[in-house]
Amino acid sequence: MSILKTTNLTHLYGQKTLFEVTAVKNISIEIEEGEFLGVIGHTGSGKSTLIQHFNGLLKPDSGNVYLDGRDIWESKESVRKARFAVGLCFQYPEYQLFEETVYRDISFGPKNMGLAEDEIDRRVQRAARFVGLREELLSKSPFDLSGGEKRRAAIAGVMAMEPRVLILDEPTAGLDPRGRDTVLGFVKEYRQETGGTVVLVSHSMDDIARLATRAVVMNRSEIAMAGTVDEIFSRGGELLEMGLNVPQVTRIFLDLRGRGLPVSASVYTNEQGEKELLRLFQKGNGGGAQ
Amino acid sequence: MSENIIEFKNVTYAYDNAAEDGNPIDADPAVSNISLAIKRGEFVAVLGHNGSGKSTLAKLCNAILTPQGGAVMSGGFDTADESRVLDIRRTVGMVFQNPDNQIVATVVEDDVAFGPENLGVEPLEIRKRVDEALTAVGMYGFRLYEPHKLSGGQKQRVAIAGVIAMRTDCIVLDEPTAMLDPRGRLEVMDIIKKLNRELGITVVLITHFMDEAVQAGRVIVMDEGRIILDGTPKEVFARKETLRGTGLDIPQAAAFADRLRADGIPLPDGILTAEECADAIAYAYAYANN
Ligand SMILES: Nc1ncnc2c1ncn2[C@@H]1O[C@H](COP(=O)(O)OP(=O)(O)OP(=O)(O)O)[C@@H](O)[C@H]1O
Ligand SMILES: Nc1ncnc2c1ncn2[C@@H]1O[C@H](COP(=O)(O)OP(=O)(O)OP(=O)(O)O)[C@@H](O)[C@H]1O
Ligand SMILES: [Mg+2]
Ligand SMILES: [Mg+2]
Repeated sequence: MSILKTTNLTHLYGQKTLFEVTAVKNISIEIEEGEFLGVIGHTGSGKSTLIQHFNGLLKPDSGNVYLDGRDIWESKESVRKARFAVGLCFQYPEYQLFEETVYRDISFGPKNMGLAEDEIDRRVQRAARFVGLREELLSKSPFDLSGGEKRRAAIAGVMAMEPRVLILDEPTAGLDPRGRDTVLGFVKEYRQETGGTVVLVSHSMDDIARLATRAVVMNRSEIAMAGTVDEIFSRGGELLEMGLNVPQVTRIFLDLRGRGLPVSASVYTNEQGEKELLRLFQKGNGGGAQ
Repeated sequence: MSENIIEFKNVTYAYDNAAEDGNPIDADPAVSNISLAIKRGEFVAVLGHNGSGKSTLAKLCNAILTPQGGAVMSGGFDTADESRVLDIRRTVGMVFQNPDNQIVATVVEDDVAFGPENLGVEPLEIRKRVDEALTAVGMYGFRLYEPHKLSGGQKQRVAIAGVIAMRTDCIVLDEPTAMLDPRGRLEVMDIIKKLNRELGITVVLITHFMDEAVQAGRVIVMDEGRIILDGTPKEVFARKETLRGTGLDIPQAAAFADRLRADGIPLPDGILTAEECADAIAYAYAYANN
């Protein structure tokens, strides 16, 4: 059974005003327990609106959201359950940092869950270490952090809750390259160790290609495509029309094919690209590769 | 007019940090004894790990912050001279890291008009500039919307329109593409290059995307409040060990080319872009097969 499911989910902003927007339109998706779902889509396509329904932060205008087969809006208790089971990290970390110190911010979730003091401390230290937040920053005010440090604090706060479903909205925006690798590596590890489910919203086609087991593409408030990473990125022309793209390595291979080189264009990660070129150069007589 | 639009002379800036108990935390300065000259018409990319001092450096350029040691001259004006603040803001426009911190009005077009209004631009001219700037970033259709109710990427586009409308001689952009979709990212980079090449506007672009830095004429790398590398993209990205040591990386295509070279595929040094990478592979293949 799927862990999260929406049926005909619709969300409007500014209802019955001049500025009414249907941000999410009639979306039905199922997310399987343990999968790594990538969500891509142009600016304003409805990604953030959609995922804020998964833990009950936004309420559907029509349609339903189910966690473990139960409508999350069934009762007060079920909404509360969704808040703890589904951890959501906002697109702008400023929206979720409000405590006096970074330490208190990260411990806010675990505290609300009613965990013991020493367990809270263990989780805070662990989460801070994983996102690469230096010890001395924990006593600072979150508002006095740099952009990337805020991002790390916000991610640590969600991770510390050890939710069954981890939803990350552009978690690598503003992170330096090492931070990006650290955080994504940790998310991958977390999923493998706990069997947790991950939903990653990202404008990085490369990260989605590398990490996701399945992806959905949003376009103008609706789901335009859903499938494996290979299925999605084999439709490069359509993605371009929607303001998206294919991973950079795929562009290199499309370029090579355009020049008549006998290479596959179904290359979405650097590993696949490396393999494909080794094959090519081994076949070519006297190629440099041995 | 001086040849340098921005000049830092031994500039130091430290935030005063207080811990919960009110005692100061002994933090290293965010910017530490930096000397730097940016010439009129340059396109400079600034890289650096999270917390390395990039945003602090940016805010020192247009007197949002003033140095505690040393001096900053912007457009020939000393930023410590309070009577010159307007002249300085007329010279150096800025896009903040988080667009929320930049929103000042409740309607998108007023928000974009705010900058030019403050510079005393004629109303008719403002109207023209606002329309042009919103069109350039693809947000004209949202001109009557409330900026804080836009999606993450839409806010970022509006913030960029704001600085375009000001037409200052120099613009400083702090991670302007962090929340944009692939097409938006390309469009904004095109706008930046156009402003620089066609209008001669000096551009300082802070970014975590190595692929964007490659497009600048000069790349500066910060580490712990200091400048550790300064040169052309080719020069800076040749310093792989230094970059990785400071939490950064080389452009994706360069990293891919490195892997292929390690596999024995003969590619030249200095590959930075996807096009260069495809060119080199096609050349090596042709060479191996004739
Ligand atoms: N609080 C709000 N009030 C009114 N309209 C909103 C609000 N938040 C978003 N919108 C609108 O709803 C639509 C979908 O926005 P959403 O934030 O879900 O997009 P997104 O796919 O996350 O975009 P991005 O990639 O830019 O973050 C957009 O047209 C946006 O302008
Ligand atoms: N308002 C503030 N009060 C106190 N300390 C601050 C403040 N803003 C930044 N700092 C500290 O100053 C240092 C430099 O911060 P800055 O914002 O300039 O970094 P940055 O290079 O822009 O980082 P990022 O890539 O994360 O945006 C960091 O260690 C940060 O914690
Ligand atoms: Mg969003
Ligand atoms: Mg910054």
